[in-house]
Amino acid sequence: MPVLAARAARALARLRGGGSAIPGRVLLALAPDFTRHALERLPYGVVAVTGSNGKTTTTHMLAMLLTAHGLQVVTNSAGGNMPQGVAAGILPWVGVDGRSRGDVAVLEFDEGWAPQLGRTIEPTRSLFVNIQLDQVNRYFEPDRVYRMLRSLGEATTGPVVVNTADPNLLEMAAELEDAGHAVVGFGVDPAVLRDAAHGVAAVDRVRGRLATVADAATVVAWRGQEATIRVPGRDLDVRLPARGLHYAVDAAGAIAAAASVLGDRFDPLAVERAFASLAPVYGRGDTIEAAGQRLETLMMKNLPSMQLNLDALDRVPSRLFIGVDEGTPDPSWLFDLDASGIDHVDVLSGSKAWHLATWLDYAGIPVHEIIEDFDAGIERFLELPAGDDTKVALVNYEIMFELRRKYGYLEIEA
Amino acid sequence: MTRLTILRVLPEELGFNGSSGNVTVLERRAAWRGVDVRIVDLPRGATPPGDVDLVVVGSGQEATARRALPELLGHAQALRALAAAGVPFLGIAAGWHLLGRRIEWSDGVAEEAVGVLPTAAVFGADWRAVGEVHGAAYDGREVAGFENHATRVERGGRGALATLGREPGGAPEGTDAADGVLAGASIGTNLNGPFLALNPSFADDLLQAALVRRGEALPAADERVRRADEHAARARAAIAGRLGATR
Repeated sequence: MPVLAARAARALARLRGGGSAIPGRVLLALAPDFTRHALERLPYGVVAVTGSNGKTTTTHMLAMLLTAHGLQVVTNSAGGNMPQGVAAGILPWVGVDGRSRGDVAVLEFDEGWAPQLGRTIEPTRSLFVNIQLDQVNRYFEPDRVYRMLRSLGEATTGPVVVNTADPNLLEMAAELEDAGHAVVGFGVDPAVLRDAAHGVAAVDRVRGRLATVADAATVVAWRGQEATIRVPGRDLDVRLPARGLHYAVDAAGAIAAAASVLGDRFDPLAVERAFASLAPVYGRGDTIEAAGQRLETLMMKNLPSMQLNLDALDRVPSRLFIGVDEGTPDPSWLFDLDASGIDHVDVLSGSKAWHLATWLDYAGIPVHEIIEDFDAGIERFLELPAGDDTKVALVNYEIMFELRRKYGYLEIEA
Repeated sequence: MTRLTILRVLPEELGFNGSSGNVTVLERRAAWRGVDVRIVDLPRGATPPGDVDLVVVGSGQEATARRALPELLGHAQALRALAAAGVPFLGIAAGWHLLGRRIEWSDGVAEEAVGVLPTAAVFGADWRAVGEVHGAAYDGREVAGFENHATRVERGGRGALATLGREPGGAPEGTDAADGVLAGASIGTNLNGPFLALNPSFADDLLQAALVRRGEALPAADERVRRADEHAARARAAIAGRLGATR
């Protein structure tokens, strides 16, 4: 009955346009145990994916890898990563008996809700991508994020898959191993890390002993959109959804988790084929058509993601738009950014434009025009004559959404 | 050329969320006016130099601040001597509280702090103030920024730096409209990150105080200073607009 009520709510929400949390709210109100009950009998269990940066990409990659191995994969990619969104996201797979069809669930969890989702769902495996400085206005302190992830790790019934290039997660691995949990690693060869301008950008907060965790998948070579990832006995050539070492690390995490889920069924060739056909993840480093020209879009969600996206840009952009609004409540972290990858801004826009201008003043980066209104700003930018390369828009999540909607990219986030 | 020395205290640990940007703001604004600035770091285990004109202590998580306190207490004499000699200090969030008289951590343990500023802080209030703020400083000057803390402050009879307005309904029960402290030329504030970038006149106050000690004055602003001031004024106005504040 709750399933039918939620489906009705979903149909209504769609008629009104969007609102993916509404059916979830209906579901969890009628059946608080809905998500656990739906998922508890999946033959390959439930993998929870969380961490500061890259969890959407990693969730997407892991679901794709398991699908490529012939599994039917339940994900919350169409929902959200908080309890109501997870419930809504898995709803299409759930029958009137309240049980999900499919073989395995791959669920992205918001860090803030990871402890509650962990207690409710008790996933079979968890995959922790990293602990970086992110949304201090929401999470307050990296220590708190650490505790939230550890709580999910403690609630996980099987192996916890961690990024061994992030010392925070090695410290957590030691604590989880002491408590009897199995830990599996994925990571980056130190030589590759040395060549990356800013490493993996883990937040500096380690207090205790670090575990020694063997990697089930390691990035051993990376260049632009190509990576080589070593799994036991084999090197896989992987095409990434966008340029950047962080995407290679996400791929290694997805591969390590897939190998853990699949055991003997894991097929390296299926992995290579799956990555070759992977579409860019929505709005995170892809190129769109806007007003008859190509526009490369980069996300500035927080310090590590912006730093890694700038590092991955293989040139100093000759035409650069920056747009930020209140979706980034506290852009203080910009003052910690190494902005040597940009030498000017053509148009600075969004309701936080003046705030960002103060950062650019002290960073010594000239700003040619400041146009607070986003629509006017991006239109002005697209009117500028072409530079020596594709125009680049560096924007926060909310403006990315506005930008794509404005130029006819109406899809929901993948 | 006049040369000022800015001491950056434990920069590896206390520079959370862009708060080390305050040193950049001081350095740039001085340089734009022809005052050369030397930035000296005080890392763990080092001894503070005596010839310092300005001291900046950035912010950190509570656990980071707690680990920093014993190290700073080792320098308390030297830092208090600088303050007594009129050297201005800037403390941002946890950096402010480390410079205060006393800290009570969120587990209830209380410790004596460095004692450069007259305030005492209690961490771990049952509310947390998070969001943009806008208000007026002790002298009526506009102040704006972002706060993110759960700290109660006892000012020991000293004046606050500013009185803040918050988002309607955004001020949790028990929060104080007052922020920060002004003690001589020294400033402590809970407005986190690069407070001075949004409020550059306070940077000029600190530079001016440092120069006056040497019998000099802050040279006139140039076009770059004026442009940064204009941007900061408009950023503060945007915050006021978002908060629905009227000034």
